[in-house]
Amino acid sequence: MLRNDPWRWGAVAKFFHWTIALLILGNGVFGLLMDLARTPMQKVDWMALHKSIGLTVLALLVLRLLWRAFNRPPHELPAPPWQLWAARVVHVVLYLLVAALPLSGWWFNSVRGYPLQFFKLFNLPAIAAKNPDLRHLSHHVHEYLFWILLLVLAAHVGAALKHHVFDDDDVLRRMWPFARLRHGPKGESA
Amino acid sequence: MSALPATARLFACAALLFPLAAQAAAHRYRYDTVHSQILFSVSHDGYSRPFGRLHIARGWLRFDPHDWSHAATALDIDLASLDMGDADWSAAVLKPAFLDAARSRYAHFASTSVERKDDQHGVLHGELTLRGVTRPLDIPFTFNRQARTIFGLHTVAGFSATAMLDRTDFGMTANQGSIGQHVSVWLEIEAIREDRTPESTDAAQ
Amino acid sequence: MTRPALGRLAPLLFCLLLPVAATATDYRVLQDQSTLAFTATFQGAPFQGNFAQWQAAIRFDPAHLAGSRFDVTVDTTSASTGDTDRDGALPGADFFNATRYPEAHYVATEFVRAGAQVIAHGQLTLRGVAHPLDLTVTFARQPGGTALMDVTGTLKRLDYGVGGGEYADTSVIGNAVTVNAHLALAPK
Repeated sequence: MLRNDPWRWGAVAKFFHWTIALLILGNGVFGLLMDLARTPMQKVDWMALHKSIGLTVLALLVLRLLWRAFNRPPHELPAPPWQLWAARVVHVVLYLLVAALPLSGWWFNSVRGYPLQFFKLFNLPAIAAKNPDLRHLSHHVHEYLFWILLLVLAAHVGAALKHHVFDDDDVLRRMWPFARLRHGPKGESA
Repeated sequence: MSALPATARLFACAALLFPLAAQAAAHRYRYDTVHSQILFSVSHDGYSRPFGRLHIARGWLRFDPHDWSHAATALDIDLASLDMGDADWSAAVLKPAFLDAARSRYAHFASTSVERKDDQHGVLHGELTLRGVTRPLDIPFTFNRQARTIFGLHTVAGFSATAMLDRTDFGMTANQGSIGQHVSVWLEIEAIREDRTPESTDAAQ
Repeated sequence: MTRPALGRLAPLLFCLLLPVAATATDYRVLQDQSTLAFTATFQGAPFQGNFAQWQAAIRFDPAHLAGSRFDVTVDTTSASTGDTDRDGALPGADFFNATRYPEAHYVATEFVRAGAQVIAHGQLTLRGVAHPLDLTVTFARQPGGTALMDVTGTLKRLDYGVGGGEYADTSVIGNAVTVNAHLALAPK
């Protein structure tokens, strides 16, 4: 089932969710390990790959937002109002961080005057003028946004596990690939 | 990288709590869509207060008669099942100005909390989504009974509840001079427990 | 002089004029109005470098190409590309290897007309490797005896071993490098 229905996320929404999650986490770890490159050329190649993956995340996010605009999300599952509110806030913050991370990297790259190439296929313009004074600031912003993402993710993942283990409801199941719902739309149980 | 130990800790806690989760399974119900009825009534230009009947399409309930604190429910009401007692009359109420079933066939209710007054009475707090509009709704209810059915096939919990809602809250603003604003709702609900505990060894299932 | 005497002198006078018209002009380069630049690509984006230190001995006449000659010497430590990391790497062993080859040398002695332009056939010695290099020359005389010369050509960096080894991947650092020189010339 590609589209969402009122009780669960469709395959496309699940694809966007997990692909973006894995790419952004993997790319972040990759970025932190960049200094392990043995030669300057290897670092150049790793950096090019890191930037291409970041651009991929940004493109996927745009597609995901478009998909969401035309696909109502499933009903929120029963929960006290403060949890519903907290979930909405965390989700909005996550969307903002997933956008801000690659954009801050793009800004960092622009300020440094480096080229930006997507997997050696085509080049993308700079989004800011070269400015040596902003070198350190832009680097720090990019890196610290990743740490903030990890913090917010701890809340997001923690809440999902709380729902799954304590409440035994469908919050995690309905986003998990190929999982059957505990309370399916036909009233069936897993 | 600092999140990794946190995640490991979370998983460890999760693993320890699986036994608790298994216990929670004993308090799950699905709504009996045949024996559950929703009725509503609204003033018809002051002449009478006719009834309409609706079915629950699907829904689940988590309810422990001895501990209501984790109770929760979510259900879909099939607007296309509307019965005003007359086919033309039902079609008129389903039109866009009123229930607008063509736009969204199901109304959805999800609980936010359950308040216990005593062993039999409580208030179900939640949100009703009707015609794409979501509004809070409080439903005082009576927990009638929970017991095994006659042939011991399954365990049923039954509830009676009432609610009052303002149809203009959900965007139904037409005919305010002739069709009443306040809608009374009665719910007579039966829910069948999903038995996974050993005492429910049923050859029939 | 009698008319018959003039007639016998004329061919002699004419012969005296010939050698002067047959030599091309020697020019000196007005360094502060001239540039020697190159353009290369890194990860798909072009970047430009300028050589600050170079000398050129230019002998040129578009009407007498046979006598023309270019002799250019470039200081390989004087390149600047607007990026400090890159500028630090260029003189290094992997690129220009300037400690061993402090100069690049270009000599062209054969010139062929191609429409409004001239093709200079020459040889560039860079990083110790000599390789033929053709350049397109555009020459325009200016009022007052000066001239403007624009020279352009493309070379392959790997022909000279520039950026070999781990930098040889031409999908990262393009193999083709365009050379552009703009020379303001004054007769010597």
